Amino acid sequence: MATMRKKTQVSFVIRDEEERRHKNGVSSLQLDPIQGRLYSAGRDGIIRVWHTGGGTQDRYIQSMEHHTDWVNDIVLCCGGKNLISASSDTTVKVWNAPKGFCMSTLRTHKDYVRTLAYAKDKEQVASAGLDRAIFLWDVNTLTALTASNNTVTTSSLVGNKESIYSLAMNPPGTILVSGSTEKVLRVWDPRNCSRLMKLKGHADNVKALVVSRDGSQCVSGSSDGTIKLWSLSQQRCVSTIRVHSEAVWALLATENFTHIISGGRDRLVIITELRDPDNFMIVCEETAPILKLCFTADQQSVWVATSDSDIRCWKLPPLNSLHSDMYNQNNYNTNNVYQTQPQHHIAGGRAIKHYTVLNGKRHILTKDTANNVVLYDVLKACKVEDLGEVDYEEEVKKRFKMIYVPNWFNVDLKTGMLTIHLGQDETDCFSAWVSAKEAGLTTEMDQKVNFGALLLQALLEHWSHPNRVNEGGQKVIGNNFFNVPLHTPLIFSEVGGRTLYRLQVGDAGGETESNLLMETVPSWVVDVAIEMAAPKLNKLPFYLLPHSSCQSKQDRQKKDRLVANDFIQCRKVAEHVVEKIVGGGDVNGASAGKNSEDSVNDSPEERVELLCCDQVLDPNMDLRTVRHFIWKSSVEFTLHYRVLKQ
Amino acid sequence: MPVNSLLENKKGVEKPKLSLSLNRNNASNLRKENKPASLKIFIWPDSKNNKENKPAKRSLKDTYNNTLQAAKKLKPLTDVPKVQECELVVEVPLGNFAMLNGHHPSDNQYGGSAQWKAPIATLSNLGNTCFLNSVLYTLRYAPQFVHNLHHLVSDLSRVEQKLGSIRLKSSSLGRSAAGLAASGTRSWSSKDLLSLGQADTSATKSKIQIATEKLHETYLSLRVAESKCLHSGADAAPEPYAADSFLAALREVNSTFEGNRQQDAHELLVCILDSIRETCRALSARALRLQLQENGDSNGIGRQPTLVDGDGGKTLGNFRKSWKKRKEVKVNEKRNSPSEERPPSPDPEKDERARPGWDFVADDFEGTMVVRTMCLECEAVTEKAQAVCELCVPVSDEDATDESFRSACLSSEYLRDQNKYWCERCLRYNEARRSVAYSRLPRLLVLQLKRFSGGMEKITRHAPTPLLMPCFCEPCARRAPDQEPAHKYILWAVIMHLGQTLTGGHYVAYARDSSQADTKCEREGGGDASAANSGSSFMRTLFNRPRPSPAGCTANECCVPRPRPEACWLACDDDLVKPISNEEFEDLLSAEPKMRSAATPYLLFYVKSEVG
Repeated sequence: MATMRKKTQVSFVIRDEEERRHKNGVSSLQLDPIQGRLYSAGRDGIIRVWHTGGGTQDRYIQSMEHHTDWVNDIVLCCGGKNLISASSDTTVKVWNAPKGFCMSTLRTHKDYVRTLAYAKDKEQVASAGLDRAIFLWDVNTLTALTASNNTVTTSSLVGNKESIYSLAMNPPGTILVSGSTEKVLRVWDPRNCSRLMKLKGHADNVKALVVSRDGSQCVSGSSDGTIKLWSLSQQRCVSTIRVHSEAVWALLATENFTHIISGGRDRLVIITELRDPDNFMIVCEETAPILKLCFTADQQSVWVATSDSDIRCWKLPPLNSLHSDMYNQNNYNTNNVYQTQPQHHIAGGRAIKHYTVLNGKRHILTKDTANNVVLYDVLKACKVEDLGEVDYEEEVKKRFKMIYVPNWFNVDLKTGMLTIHLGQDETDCFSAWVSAKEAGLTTEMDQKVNFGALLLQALLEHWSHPNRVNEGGQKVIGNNFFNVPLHTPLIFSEVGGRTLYRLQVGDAGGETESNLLMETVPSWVVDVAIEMAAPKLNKLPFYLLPHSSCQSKQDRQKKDRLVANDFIQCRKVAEHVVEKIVGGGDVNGASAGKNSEDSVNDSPEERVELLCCDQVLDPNMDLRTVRHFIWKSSVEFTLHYRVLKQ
Repeated sequence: MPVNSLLENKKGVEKPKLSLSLNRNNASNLRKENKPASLKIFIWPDSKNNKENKPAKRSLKDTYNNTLQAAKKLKPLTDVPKVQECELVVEVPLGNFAMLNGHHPSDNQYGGSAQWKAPIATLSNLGNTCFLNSVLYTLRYAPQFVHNLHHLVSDLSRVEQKLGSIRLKSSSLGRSAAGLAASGTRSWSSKDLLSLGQADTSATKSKIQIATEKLHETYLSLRVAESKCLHSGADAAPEPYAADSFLAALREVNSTFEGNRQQDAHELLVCILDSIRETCRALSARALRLQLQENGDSNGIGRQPTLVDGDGGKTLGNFRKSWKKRKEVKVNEKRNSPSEERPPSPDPEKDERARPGWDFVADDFEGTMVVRTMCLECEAVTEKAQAVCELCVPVSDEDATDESFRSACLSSEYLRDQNKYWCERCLRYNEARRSVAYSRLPRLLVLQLKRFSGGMEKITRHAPTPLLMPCFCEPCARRAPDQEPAHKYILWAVIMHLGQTLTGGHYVAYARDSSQADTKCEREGGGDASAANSGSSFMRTLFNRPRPSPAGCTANECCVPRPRPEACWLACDDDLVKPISNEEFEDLLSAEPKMRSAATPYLLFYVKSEVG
């Protein structure tokens, strides 16, 4: 199994223990009218639950965390008992909605799961995405899944030729419609999985769909900017509504299918009468493209989710007022909107949009959507300092140090939070050896530590692995220097692909977690994090020559090819020169090796100086830094030495 | 294409030794080269019978002529003397422009002795140089190409003359002042100075420039050959011209063309166009220098040339940039009102065209390709524009339609599955749609059929070659379906490739000789007195001298092909060039290749034409 599997990538997220605000856009909304709760699916990978009741200052209830990528769609089912979510981590998850924990994960999709549809009367959910497949799920079966009873049969609807971006079912579950980049609507009967028809008419991707209760009508919103009303019984487009100036991404139909509320890239929420599209009104203008619309319990207002992290509630105009000439005289005159102030506002947080990995390959400077600059420590998986609204470029410049450390991780900002992907194999992940003293981990001289190894040891220190014993029979835990926050999400995934397992660092001690880790963690990680094997050192070959200004008496003109650890300092090379080349021949004759340190009080760097490209080197500079900043090439790295004192 | 050029040539070069059927009219053309003993018999199709699509009947006289011509070819080749013709004796009345599609009443004018009244110069094969000849023929009949080349070369020589004289002047000045102070003992004779000046000019004359001049010389010689033939009055075809001096110059520029191997005609075309473009740049730089120097002279030493409207002080790079900007604006204006007529008064484009060193290659052959990528999540579009010289079109598997070039050029694809697009706004990999369009298509559109892509085997599949093609540049494509595009493209030449590989085989060019005498010249004559008068600019006074002669553009007397009685297609196969009727040509294009070695269109040349 291990040999056939793709490479496993270890990742983690640097974040606060509780993230009470959406850190990125909000893709989907669901209302529980009975409990008065609003569920919102975030592109930060977190589903959050909010009080909708008026007067509450802090609406936040809880977070539902288990996805590792954008949550693209959610459906609340079983009268609010369960929630189904679809994510770009390619999974569909089943949640206990009131308690907020993940009950099971469905991994049938092979690409981003983009959309869900729900047939309320049958408790049936359909999922679809960029892998072109549509799966039908019986919610009652899904919620009954346990660790032992974990097989589920699903029917799939095949025939889509391109990526699916939208789905809709009617409550009785007699009609299912899908929208895709194919620009056609495909209609199925989910009861027998038969294809019913294909509706052509849109000129671009179809990203929003609604089906009427009886399944006779359907409304579609497309990236071509139009909304189309289709008669499924007549298999034709009844009318084309052109109220938006850009792509239509969200649709919401009123109870009796008389009006359609739409939103999209032009940031406007517009309500239109389906029978007479001339009767429409701009409800409000949002601050970002609209991703989802959801009625309040009384259907007098809509909750609006956008690609910003805020969620706002806007009052709808009375349906019979649309024909009044007050608001709809000019389509795009946004001064003419019905509401300029939202009824409610759930404030969002800030997404990190820019980052710079500082030269030491340990700290990251970030800038978010509000131009806030924050410094993070990757090694300890925590925030170091909030610098506020300062000049980001200036801060980056200020922190420049002339040191070179190899890359050992990558940064990913897709969720708006810092996700760190460690190097994909032992050579990448363990490439950064540094002095423990310089890393501020110890005061001892000469101790070298490996960033990747230290971090893996800290991330997995709670895993009760049986091999975690040293020669003395004692349990070895962690890296003896530091810990990472217990809430840190730790993610194992296929390289560039699907998530295999996600857990929090502090939960690794549990029995189930330990067993799952045994299956998931690649052996090169176990070797270093559990069995405490030291990663390999990086060797750097170089040539050592006397400088042209230094007349060597001996025949030392031929190139000396040496190999050293890439982190050793020039001081060490100077020592080598003193001991093996200069000292050995000139000062103490044959007994040089033994007595050189006693007989000479001067430190080696005072006796010999090193040069690279005719530049005198700081004895504290390490070889890889010299090669990166001074030699500036990866081949034929050459150093020269010059004797100062005999 | 560079890919094509990588194809290794077989040792023991394959001579273009083949027999082919040019069309269904049984006009066969049997050639066996380098076998002096064999008698060459050329059978001319008799266009009288073409409409009935019957086998050609040959008149005795025709046969006689052809035999005569064939016999002449056996003579050793001599260089055609480059004499300027002194006068134009007969202005052959121009026939009306025959449309490409359909029957033309004056088809019968070919054949018989009439054709010798409009002799056509030919190029001899120098050993596997049919790739060269086919391109030279094509460019010769390219609308306005030779004309523009003529002005480039004549401007160049004028500027060089001027610069040379200035250099002489300034160096003698230098001697009297700085020269005496620095190296006082050394005395320079005027002979020294002269040779110095000459050495300077020849040193600055790059290989590229020489190639451009030799190309012009080739066309000049062809024209001379035609005139000579006409004047001699004999019933003889012009002697084939050997373009060896141009080939030698070309080999200096690009070593790919060394050796007696068959070459990719497309690569040659690119090389020629690049050379001309470089020459334009060099001329533009030199003209600017000249302008600065002239101004310095007239204004006295040490004074900045303030009269040269801002461009003067800038470096060459800036100069070109500012010109580009001006052009860009022009394009935009045009886009806004494609049908609107240009204002009659000062025309910046005309000015630009009259500028010495005007890069007519860029203007005539370059289009602008726009690649747009839209993230399917945020639907933001990123756009990249780049200049493209010729469009490559795959030979499609399906039954191609007339629209196939358009659809092949305007492609749209999805980036998805394992090939997702990194969206800088979403900061992640998303699906995206990438489309290719052309914001501008050149006046002369070159399409290269990708017959040699992939493996070594040539794709011989038939692809329809439309004689008339609707324009698919963005302003045209964006028009409503009921509206006609603002321009269309008319086929004016085809280079056919015969044989199975790019390194072997044979090239034949078919070019439409639409008389170029009606070419409106922006430079000289043409009754455009207003431009000459209004120009107080130095450039105009320099380059419009001598005053436009009433006869029109000097190119008409120099190197452009002699006007023919009427437009027709010419089949140009090395030293055999003959007019063919529209029907014959169309038959040729529509023929499904039967053999693997059959002739297949490889390069298609279209000229833009405004609709209405």
